[in-house]
Amino acid sequence: MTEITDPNIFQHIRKGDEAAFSRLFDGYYAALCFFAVKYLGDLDLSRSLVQQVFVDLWVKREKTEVISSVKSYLYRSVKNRCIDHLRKEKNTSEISESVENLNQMPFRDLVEEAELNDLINKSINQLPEKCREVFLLCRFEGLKYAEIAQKLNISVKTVEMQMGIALKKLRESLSDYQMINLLVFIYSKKI
Amino acid sequence: MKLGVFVISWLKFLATKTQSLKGAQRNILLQYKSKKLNENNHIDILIGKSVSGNATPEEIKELEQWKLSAEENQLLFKKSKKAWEKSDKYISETTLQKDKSKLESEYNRSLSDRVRKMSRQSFIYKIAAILAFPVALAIGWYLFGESEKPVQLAEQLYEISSPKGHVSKVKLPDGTEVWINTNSSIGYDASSFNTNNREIQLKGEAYFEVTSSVEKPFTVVTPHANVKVTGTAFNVKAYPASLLFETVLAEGKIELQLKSGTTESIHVEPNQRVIFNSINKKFDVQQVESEMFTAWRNGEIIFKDATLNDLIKELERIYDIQFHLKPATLGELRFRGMFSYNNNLIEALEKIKKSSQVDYYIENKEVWLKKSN
Repeated sequence: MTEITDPNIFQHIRKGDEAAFSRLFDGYYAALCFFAVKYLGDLDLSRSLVQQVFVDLWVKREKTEVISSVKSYLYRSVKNRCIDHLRKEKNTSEISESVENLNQMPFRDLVEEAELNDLINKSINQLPEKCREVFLLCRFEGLKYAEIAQKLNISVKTVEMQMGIALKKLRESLSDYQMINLLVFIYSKKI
Repeated sequence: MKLGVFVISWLKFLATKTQSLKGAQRNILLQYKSKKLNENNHIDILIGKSVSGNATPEEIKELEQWKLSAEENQLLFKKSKKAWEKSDKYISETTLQKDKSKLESEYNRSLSDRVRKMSRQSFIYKIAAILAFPVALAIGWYLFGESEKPVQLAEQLYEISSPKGHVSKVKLPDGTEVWINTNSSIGYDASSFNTNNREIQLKGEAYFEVTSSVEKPFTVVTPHANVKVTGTAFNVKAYPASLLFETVLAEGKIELQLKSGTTESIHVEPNQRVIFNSINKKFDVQQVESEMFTAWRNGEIIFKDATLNDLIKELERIYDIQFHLKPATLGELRFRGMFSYNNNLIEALEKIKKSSQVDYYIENKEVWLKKSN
């Protein structure tokens, strides 16, 4: 996990440190997009909304006060913006209900869920190229093994192998995540 | 806190220990139990087929048996299924990088929005200046009325100019309508205008729709040439810093008097464009579509086979901003299309970017154009 460990990152950003801003983007952008999707349902829309949050943060960096952590600041900004967007987009009565529902979802759960998506996304991106290609065709194009084999001009056997490897790697990244959760749990108990 | 850090590092230490132990075990497995590894491989394939919906009934049955044979197998399958479910949304590495680079242009856009907000305030003054003109005009009107009587009037010079990025339209005392292009101005002496002639000075570019009056010819005076008409619609471009003078006739006829070169006046026909070069004293007459040269009065500029250099010259004039090309040969690129004065700078730049291999960035309030990758 590329958790941002530097507690002073926002101080650097306030001073106009572009490298720090770039690190912040790399660390949180994808996860925030997956978080926004839970509200908006549309990934493209979520991406442009999260980009806007980053742009605003940079524009107003000198005036922004981050009280708790940068992470919770970012997630809260994205959440507020999503709800604003939904309010503007849809009929007031219809939307107030669904916004209410979303508001009742525990914030922390949604954040964790988004981080999990991010983790898996990262492992997909880290898969060997051929393996990733096969996996994406299967997962997002909904192609059957035989169709993938034909499309990539490889044997069905190879598709089977690659899919086996892909799922193995993804499930291993999931284990890491659960390990970390466990660590945090022990840590907070001891204090 | 210290205790916490200690606990974490201790746990980490334990984790690495177990991992290296696992690694050692795996090595042994590799050497002695390769058959078992193949089995694992086989299971991975089955799991992949099962979660993606590619498994045959027999394979599903086999997997069920494997799951029942050990509790950890059950867990392994659950994790695989979860990984499959949680991978329903995907952002590729290239998309992530693309989005990151988009931040820069989004940032510039938000900056230019802010600049626009600020310049709106100064725009109010410009509006005030434009509104002040009709008042001046009314006074002029009044004085003209007076001047019908043989009253000696002192010179009353009026100048009307268009602010940068805007086109102004004015009506002169004789009813003639003038569109003044951005960063241009016209001037006239209210005490003599419309007495026995109609003479106005032009700095820059303007389009005229002159009311017909044979006995009071209308003359546009510029440094390099004068245009004399009785009633017609035409465009004159004569920026003070430019060595060129040009006029385009939309309808009617005009008479062009050059101030150097030839003393003979040139008669221009509709849809003709005359360009005079004050250096070599030569003039050139072209057949054109006059609309191309007069569209600016509706807030549009039409480019038909123009170079990027031509385009930049216009944009610099409209937006009052300096452009740079990297490399300079980029200026030879050819364009066609239409720009609107109502577009903001970023919109204009985006338009260029979309229609060509040219990318932009803004630095120190100057625009840099470069070949996009």
